[in-house]
Amino acid sequence: MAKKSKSKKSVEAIVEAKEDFEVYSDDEDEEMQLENDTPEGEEEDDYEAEARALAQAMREGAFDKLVKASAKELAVDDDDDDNGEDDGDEDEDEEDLDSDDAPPPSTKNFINNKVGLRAATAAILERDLPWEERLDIVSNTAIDPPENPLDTNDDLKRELAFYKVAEEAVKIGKQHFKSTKMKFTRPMDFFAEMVKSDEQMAKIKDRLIFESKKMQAFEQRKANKEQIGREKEKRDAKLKQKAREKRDNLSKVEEWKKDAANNRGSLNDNDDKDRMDKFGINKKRDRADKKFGFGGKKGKFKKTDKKSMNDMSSFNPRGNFSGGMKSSKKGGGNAGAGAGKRPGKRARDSKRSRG
Amino acid sequence: MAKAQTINKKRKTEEPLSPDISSESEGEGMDVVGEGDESSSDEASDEEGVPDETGVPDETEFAVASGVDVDLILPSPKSTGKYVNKQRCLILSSRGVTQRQRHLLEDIRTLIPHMKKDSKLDEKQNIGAAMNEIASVKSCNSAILLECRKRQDCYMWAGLTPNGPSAKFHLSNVHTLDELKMTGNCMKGSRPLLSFDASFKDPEQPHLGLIKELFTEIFGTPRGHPKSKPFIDRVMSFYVADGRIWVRNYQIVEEEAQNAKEARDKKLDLGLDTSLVEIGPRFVLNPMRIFAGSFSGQTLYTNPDFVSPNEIRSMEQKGKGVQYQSRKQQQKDRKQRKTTIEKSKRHDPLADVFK
Repeated sequence: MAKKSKSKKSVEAIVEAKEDFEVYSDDEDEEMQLENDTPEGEEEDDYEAEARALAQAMREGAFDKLVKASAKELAVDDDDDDNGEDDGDEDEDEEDLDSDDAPPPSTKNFINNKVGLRAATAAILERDLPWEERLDIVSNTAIDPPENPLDTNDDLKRELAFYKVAEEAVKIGKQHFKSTKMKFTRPMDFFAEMVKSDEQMAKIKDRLIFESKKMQAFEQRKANKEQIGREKEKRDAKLKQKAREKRDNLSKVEEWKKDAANNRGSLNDNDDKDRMDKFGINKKRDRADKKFGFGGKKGKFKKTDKKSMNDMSSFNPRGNFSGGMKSSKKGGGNAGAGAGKRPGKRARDSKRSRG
Repeated sequence: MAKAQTINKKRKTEEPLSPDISSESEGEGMDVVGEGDESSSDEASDEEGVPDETGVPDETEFAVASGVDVDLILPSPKSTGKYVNKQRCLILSSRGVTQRQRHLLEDIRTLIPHMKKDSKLDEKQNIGAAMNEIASVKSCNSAILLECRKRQDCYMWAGLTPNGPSAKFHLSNVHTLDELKMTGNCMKGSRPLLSFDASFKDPEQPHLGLIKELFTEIFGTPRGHPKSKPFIDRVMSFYVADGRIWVRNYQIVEEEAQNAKEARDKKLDLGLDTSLVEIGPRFVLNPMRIFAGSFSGQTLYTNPDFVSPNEIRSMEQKGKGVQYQSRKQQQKDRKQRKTTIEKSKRHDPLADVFK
């Protein structure tokens, strides 16, 4: 189609070019007319003389032969007069021929001999073949009606219009076949040589598959891209949220600082807790505070003093250290609480294997 | 049924010359020649009532019931189904045909089982005589000639031999069967339905009617031809758009019954979907001229809208020439303007004082 549009463009260009030419030539014509102004009267006289001579000749019958010979053609001309469009063209041509002896721009005389065309059509139809021999179907829908012209450059629209007309024709044809009891559909078991070879059809099939795959891949790529975009958006939103929170917190701290500076020295100085509450409770910290206490001197906490030195409450004589009175089966009897305890792993394994 | 008849009658009186009179009686045909007696058309319509009553009443009734226009298919003498319509079509090209056009030629040959081929035509001057001679030797009564000029412009001649008429088209936008986009396939030598859009029966454009008849003669496969197949699986369609004739060839794909209900529907013809798949080739024909004789003779029609590719090319060249000229003119003007400005500058007596 690109080719076509190109040719169309070129035609337009030509028309423009023609117009340009005409512009130039018009000027020249004017000049010519100016020059020719003076001898016009003489020319007219010449024409009149010529016309008189011709009329005389016709009266004498010099053209009778010609008229007889071309009676047919004259009839054709008459028919042409019926045709409005062509009429206009011809008139123009005649004017051109009359007006000047310079060559007219277009001497093409378009013929549309309707009677002749109809006669020729009728001559073909004289054989009068039944429809079953011809299988022609003329649709009632025009593809390119003048009131609703088809844009032939729009491939999809055009092919759709074509398809519809053909489909309609098939419907009509099928009905006619049915009414005359002719076979239309090929039975499944009728094998015949096809127009396109199997190799060609295989190629076509391959191409169709390839095409569908291409489409799929394209869709996939598109979906992936979308996914990536969405994720990125999400991440960005999250980062933004974080940044906003940080900014808010910092501004709160600033606010607090300012307040604190204003209130320094006044009595109600230590309302930090209220402010800290604004940030919410750090649960981990809270738990740790409960467990280990909060504040106080750090070093003192770990120092041994007299009391802690003598405190043996946390000492376990059967503790898990070498030399400790670790419970075993041998010493089971006097091992006290340790006697009923679970044996070691190896013992358990060996017991299991035996049992 | 009576309704259908009246439709037919009405149509006849209105436009007895419409080109879809394909299967009407001979009396009609004579009327077309322009004898002008009203009685013959009346007779014809009276005659036509006869087959309606006796022969195929079901068909029209059926068509009316199903909302299909009856006048698309007129009742006609019944075909016996024997090989009566003995058509042979000569298909050949001129020398210097390009690859694509050669492929198209081969495609047309595969689609037309009643074709005869011959070696490339090496006759430029007297195509008509040459074609007639070859056709008579090959006992053909129609012919297609692809004439290639300058290894780029292709003209398709289609006509009946030896008495004509014939038409010359400019061939463009060729897509052959080999293209993988055309996914359809059909039996070799199957008879096509020939679908035409409404423009072909436009009484104001008798040339299209003639072209339609030419195409039905050439592209329609005769019934019972030894190489043809008894089933229909393709539709060849012709459309007029943009003043040109577009040709498409579709496969008729009928959906197969998947279950019992669908099989029953199919039997009752309740319409299992038929769809069309393009087989190819596709091409566009721009009618240039229609001749009364075969490949020669009196011109019946010339296309006023046709611009020959040569003219287009030369105009393109001329357009380029104009571009060059205008550029040169501009340069000249600019130079002149500059010099006049220079000259008209007032003389400054103190200009060289401070140098």
